[in-house]
Amino acid sequence: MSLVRDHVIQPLNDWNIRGQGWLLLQQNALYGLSATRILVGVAMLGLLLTNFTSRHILWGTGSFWAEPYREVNAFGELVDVFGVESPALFTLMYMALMGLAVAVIIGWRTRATTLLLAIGMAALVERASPMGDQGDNIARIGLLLMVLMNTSAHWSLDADDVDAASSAPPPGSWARSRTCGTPCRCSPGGGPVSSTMCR
Amino acid sequence: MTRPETSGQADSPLAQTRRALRHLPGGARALTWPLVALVLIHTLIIGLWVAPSTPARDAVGQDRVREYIQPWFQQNWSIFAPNPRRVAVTFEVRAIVEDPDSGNKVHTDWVDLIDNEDGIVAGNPFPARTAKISRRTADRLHSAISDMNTEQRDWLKASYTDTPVDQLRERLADVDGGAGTSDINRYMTADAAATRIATGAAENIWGEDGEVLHVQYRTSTRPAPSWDDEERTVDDTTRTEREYGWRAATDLTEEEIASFAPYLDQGGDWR
Repeated sequence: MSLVRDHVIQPLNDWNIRGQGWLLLQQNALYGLSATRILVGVAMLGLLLTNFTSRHILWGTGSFWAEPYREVNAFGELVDVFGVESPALFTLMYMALMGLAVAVIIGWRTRATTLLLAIGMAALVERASPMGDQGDNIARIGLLLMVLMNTSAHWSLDADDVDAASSAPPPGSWARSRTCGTPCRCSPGGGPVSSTMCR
Repeated sequence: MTRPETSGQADSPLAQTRRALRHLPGGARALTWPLVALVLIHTLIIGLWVAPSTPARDAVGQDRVREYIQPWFQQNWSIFAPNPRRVAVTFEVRAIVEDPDSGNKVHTDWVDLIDNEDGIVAGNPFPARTAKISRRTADRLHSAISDMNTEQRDWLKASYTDTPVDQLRERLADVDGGAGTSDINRYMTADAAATRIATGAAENIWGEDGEVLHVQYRTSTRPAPSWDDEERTVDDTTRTEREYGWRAATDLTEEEIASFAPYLDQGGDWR
């Protein structure tokens, strides 16, 4: 019995602890994810800029030719979000989407703006889905997954805010540790859970 | 009873990890492996979707996989391996325009909108997506037609100027053999887009001459010669022409026509 415990159960249990520690006690790949955030944001902004002068033909009032494609689009009603009659309003919404791309690049309210950019880009480019490519797909999937990650730990306004706030941290504040954007070390046994737990 | 790792080896990394984990909410720890399992299942389904057909995918059911993937996780194996074009296409349009004074109906010449789109791409490292409007529509037409038999292709050449073009869908479906419903539906979608593109172009090019009554489009493909063939370019290979009947011009507002106009100028001096 002790043979099984020492050579099977114990190693398995150790792996369980190591795995949980890797997943729960630290954040991983924070530099890579921050670089990814900036690169994906730049790609989306670039796409919006290169098509800016063609926006009405592709997705606005001049895109009547794409209506048959829209009727069979798997995204359903999402493709109607940019289907506004006023060209001025359409341009305003287009520029708001560019603003979201900029917000992701500079890391402002990163999680929310990343999600909105993912939905907004899908709503726009799917208005003329045959003009799209696999780049649209990978960008959408990437942005969606980035919502579940901490992509603002570095080179972002969110990280700057946390740095500024942590110069005078309210002791044991959950809010502070929740928005912790910098790679904080969790020293075991070092203080109450709320101030050491990273997210 | 004292467990070994908390007594003798209090400072081992494993013991430290174990102690740190005790501070976490129990729920977070309990959810760890179920969440990892969820990620693995998601990855597995993506794998089933992008891989060629396998018994594993058949066991799960292609429809069930599609339901999960579409539309947000939609992707293709070519996501990291873009396929360079091997076929050049043309997408030509013409119209029947009625002179408002004499009532004469004039057939215009054909214009190839792909010439315009080539002009958008040439020398431009960041072309707008307008460079693909007619090209991709021609691609869609060709792909929808590829499985059609002779009888179905003959039906495509029929004109639908007064009768609704939707009747073409029934005609094509009534033919024995050939392309099935899914291909026919794809053709009808591409046909509607092609008719609208043709109308938008016709209104801007010939709209001043009178009322655009009917429009027609035609397409062609020609393969790029292989790399070894240094003598010939794509212009030297044989065109395969595809013909379609006349269609009623789409009803467009002044604003729609005007906002489509810049597309026809983007390719420079192509007309």
